[in-house]
Amino acid sequence: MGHENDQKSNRGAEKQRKWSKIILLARTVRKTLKRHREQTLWVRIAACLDYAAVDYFFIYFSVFITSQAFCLNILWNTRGLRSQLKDSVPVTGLCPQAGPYGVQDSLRRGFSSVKNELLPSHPLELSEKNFQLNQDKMNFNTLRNIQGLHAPLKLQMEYRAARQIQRLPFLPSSNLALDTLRGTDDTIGFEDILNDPVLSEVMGDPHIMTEYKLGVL
Amino acid sequence: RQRTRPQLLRAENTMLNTSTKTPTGGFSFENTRRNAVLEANLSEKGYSAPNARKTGTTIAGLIFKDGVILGADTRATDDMVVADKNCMKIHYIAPKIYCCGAGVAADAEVTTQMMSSNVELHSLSTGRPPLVAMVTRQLKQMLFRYQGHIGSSLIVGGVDVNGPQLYSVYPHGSYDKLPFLTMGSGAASAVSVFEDRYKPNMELEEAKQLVRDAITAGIFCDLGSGSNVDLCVITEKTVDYLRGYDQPVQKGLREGTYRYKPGTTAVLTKTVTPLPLDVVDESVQVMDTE
Repeated sequence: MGHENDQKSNRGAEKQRKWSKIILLARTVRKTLKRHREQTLWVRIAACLDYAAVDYFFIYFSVFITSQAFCLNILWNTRGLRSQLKDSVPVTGLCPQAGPYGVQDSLRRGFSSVKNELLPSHPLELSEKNFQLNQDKMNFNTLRNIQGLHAPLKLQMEYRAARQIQRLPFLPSSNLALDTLRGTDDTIGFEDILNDPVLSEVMGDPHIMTEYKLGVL
Repeated sequence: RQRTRPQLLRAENTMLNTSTKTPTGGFSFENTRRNAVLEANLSEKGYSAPNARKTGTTIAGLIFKDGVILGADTRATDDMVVADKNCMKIHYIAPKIYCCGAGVAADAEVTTQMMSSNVELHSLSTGRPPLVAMVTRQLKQMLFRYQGHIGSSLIVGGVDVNGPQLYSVYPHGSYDKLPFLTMGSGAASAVSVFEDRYKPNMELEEAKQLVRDAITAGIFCDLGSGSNVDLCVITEKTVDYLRGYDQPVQKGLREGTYRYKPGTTAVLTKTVTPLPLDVVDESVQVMDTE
């Protein structure tokens, strides 16, 4: 009786170890996918297979997982809209109230407090930041309910493709294809009249912006 | 724990105020915190920040037999001071659609200009003349998006394929569709005249007289409205923009004069002190006179 139990427990422990390995592999795959989410699909698959090739025992599991990831990648896009929502202003590391000399800039930013950093300063600030995302979410949900899942999937594929057409990171892009897809190419809103990025007086540092875009920063 | 190189670089960039985000257009909320702190400090001393100029208006609209008549007064106030004695409150949106704006003057102006551009683009894209309902819908969607912070109340009136129509849009985004409407600070006075004498399917002259009377009631009974009455008559065939249709308030004539005859005041003593001036430098600049 005890011997049987021991065997069972041994087998159980083995299974657990196997499953834990698989779970660990799945986690690393997911992490790579997230890290390379800016890259094209093939790069992502290659990165996953890279990790998979480490342990050939689980190569069939990894193929299974990468194919799941391939499908999930598209699905992640529809859920990924939520992850892009900016529900709070992010804390920016070292001295948030720093001015040009690295110390508190009380003249321009007021006294520093945690509340000032985390909460928005105007009731409309967050809703304006997320407005386009919320509209897209609402529209895609409606479309999914009316026409089925294929409709928002196809549209989001087109959006992803159009969003990749950009100039160099520090230059303003016209986003013409994206505007045409969204239907905002024949409307005028405050984003066209106020603070037009084409007329902005400052430009991001080219080196920093390129490094950020490539993920080196 | 050692900071990694990316973290160090990011910290450095925060300190040097370089951002890695692409700039987007639209409203910028950078100064709101500073403004709040400044206002709190000023109000302790008894001062207050300057207010946006409101129009302090009476605007009215009416549907008569052939179309729509919009009326407005012409005074713009700046907190109890008249800022503009003759401003135009009836704005053009489309060839057969006009809009009266009350509330904050700048908001009404910019909102109607943006609406006009959007309506033009939309009608070019559909290939049809615009509908008043389309203007109302875009207005209310935009005003609701900004939750009433854009303080403009508007009366949109026009003639389209569905006949003459009149809508009023409030700053928070609600709207009404009625045969007669008034808005602004003088709305109560003007609507009392409408309620008393409005009949459906009135004739043109009778309707013009009624709108004129309503705006005049607003001008006399409300401090924020004054000067002239502007009317805009929109029918299917024509649009008549009658600027300065009526001037119920004339500027008073001065009764007497305050000029005195020379010699009214007697001269008692007179002292002359010449100022010694020396010529220091003389230069001649020839002008090109061709």
